[in-house]
Amino acid sequence: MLPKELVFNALEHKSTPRTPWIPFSGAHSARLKGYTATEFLQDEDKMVECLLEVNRLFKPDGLCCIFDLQVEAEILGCDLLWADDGPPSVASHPLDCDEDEDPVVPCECTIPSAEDGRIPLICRSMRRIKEAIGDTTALYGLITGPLTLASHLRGSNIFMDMFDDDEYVHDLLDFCNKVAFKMADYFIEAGMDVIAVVDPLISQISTAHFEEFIAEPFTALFEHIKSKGAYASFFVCGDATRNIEVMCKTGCHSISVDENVNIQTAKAICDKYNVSIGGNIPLTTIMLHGTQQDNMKYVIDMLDSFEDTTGLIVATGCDMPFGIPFENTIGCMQAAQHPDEVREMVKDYVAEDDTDLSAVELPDYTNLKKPLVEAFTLDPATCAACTYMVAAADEAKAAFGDAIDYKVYKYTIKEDIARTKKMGVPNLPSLYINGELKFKSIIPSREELEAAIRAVM
Amino acid sequence: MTKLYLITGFLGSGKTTFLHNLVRLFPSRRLAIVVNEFGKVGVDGVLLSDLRAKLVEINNGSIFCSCRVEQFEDGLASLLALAEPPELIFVEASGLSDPTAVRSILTQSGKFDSLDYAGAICLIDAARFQKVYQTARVCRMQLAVADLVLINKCDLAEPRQLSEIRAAAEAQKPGRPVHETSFGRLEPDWLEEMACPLSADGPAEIHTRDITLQKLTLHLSDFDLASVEAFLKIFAGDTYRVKGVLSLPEGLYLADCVGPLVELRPFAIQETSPAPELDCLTVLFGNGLPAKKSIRAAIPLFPGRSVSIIQ
Repeated sequence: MLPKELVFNALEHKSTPRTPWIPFSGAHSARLKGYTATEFLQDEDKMVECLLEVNRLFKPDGLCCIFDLQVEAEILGCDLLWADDGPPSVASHPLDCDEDEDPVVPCECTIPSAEDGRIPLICRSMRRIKEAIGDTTALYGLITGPLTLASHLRGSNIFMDMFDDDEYVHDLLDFCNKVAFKMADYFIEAGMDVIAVVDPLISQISTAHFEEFIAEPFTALFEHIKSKGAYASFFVCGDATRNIEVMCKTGCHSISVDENVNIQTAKAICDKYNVSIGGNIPLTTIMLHGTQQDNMKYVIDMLDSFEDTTGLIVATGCDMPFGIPFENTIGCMQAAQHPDEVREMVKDYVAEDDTDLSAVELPDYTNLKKPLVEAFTLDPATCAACTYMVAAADEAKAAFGDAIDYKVYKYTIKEDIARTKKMGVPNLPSLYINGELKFKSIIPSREELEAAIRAVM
Repeated sequence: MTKLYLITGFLGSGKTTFLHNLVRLFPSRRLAIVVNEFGKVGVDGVLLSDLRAKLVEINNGSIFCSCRVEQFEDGLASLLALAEPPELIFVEASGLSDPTAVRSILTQSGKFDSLDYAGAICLIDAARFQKVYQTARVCRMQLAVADLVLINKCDLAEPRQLSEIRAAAEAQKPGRPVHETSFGRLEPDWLEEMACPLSADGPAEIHTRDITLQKLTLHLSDFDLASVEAFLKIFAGDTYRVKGVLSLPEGLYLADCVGPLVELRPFAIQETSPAPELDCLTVLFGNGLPAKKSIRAAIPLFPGRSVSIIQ
């Protein structure tokens, strides 16, 4: 069976001779050829060169051709902050406005054309990749989900709008979904077999809000993708456990989750709907900071945790951090593609947690001089859910000023990993106030967060 | 062959006045003008109707947007299909339009074979350039596609502002002709300096959209000249442009506001021109300008007058 057939069968929830393997190598691909993320994301030749190297080195059954959730936002007027070691992040929100201003729904004539922004360069790269390896490898084109795009355009106000102005949220999501329809069209025409709609912020809203705002546009979007002959995938980051079932009901072929979701639980739900599940090799603790054996063992343990692997795809939890050692990804690849051999190799291996918790000194939470807000994140620069959680906390800090203390921790930094573990933070992103978990994987509205802070003043 | 010039420039940069001057340079040629306005109610068509040129009006959206491009193409095709097609076509794009698609539209194979695209002329309001260039994305795009840049209204600007504009224009496309002028005047040989636009490099910046642009129409009644001026002065600074013809007790007046500058001047309807829609003001704004809020705050200050906001 060809590698891409493995992927297609898994997406159709059919059994496969082995579990397919997909590393979501976005900006990380640049590192394989010594380029910066910015060079990779802005240059057709470099993009093609790096993606072909990903294909050669990591032997994916499915290749992710683009993982940049800022492509649409850039076209629609968001300023981007470019980085050498990761995808760009959104630095301004064109639809942000004061509370007493009417929020704007963009005109449909601003929906990106195939000539806008970086779309032409990305589509040309995709066509070249299709030509080079499309006969054997399944090709994934990733587009920005409507909720994340709406957040890029409107800023963290969108979470307040969900309570105060549901009509506006419906209208803005409708616009963003029309953008997603077009992006899917462009990428399918450029040869993509699978369109993955990536919406990290789905993990940060309640199931009630999912059903009210998200279910309908996503169902229409997946129907559209399938009608064009492509497979439809739904990517989420963060603890989306509560929303897995409603995600399955949108008609996608597959769901992809990160380490915040228990993949055994999620697979059991997905199996009921014949939806494939992909995931969830931890991006930082295992892939970035672990050894090759840690990576092999994680994949073997994950495979062995299922009685039936039908519909399973071994994948990285989300977009791979830039600095992941290449041998770790290769270890995952070997474990996924040659599980029997690797199982033997790691049978006696016991992973050592070298995190030094004693080096972390936690504040004396019972004797704080003023309220302390702590945001525990994966990385606000690269994880959209973290970006908007931190944006909510930033707003609170701006409102309270010196009356509160405020800290942000990133799970990409070893010291912060130790602190996160010592605090027992269950999911990222999470907000703590005076050492107590107040918002776990749900971005609070401004009023909710300010009320929670006032309660401890 | 029919030669086509595109005239761009942000709202209030003086395109319509410039067009009057441009037309005068070609007294014995068959001319056509395509005039495009973002608002529902077109005013420029009325202002241009006294010119000796065939007029095509396309309102309520940019000719380069998917919502109006078909109308633009049909308009051009109908002009080219005339028994005696125009020798020159001037296209006045809306001040809010992003013209970066002009080349791909005009060079579609088999569509406009008898058309010779002579290039884009971009007018700049010298005094307002810095503010507009920083807030309105389309302004950068208009400058990016220009083959000739005319810094207009120089009489209202400081020398420092003029040199800043020259630097911005030069940084975008080195070597491009840039001239300073006032009242939309131009020298005939400036047109000769325009490079062959179809072989020119594309815009330096990638093509983006401005999703913040908005328009609304105000319908006014029971105002007189003094009260309408006072009314406009309250909110004009929160808009890019306000334009329309008003029927006041003092007579017909053209309201023409560029940012905070409010101008009301007597207006005469030409017998040959189409009648403008009276008492409707088109208001254009975007990028966080609180126009609606200011208008709503202004209305109660004029008891006995009536203002309705039509989205």
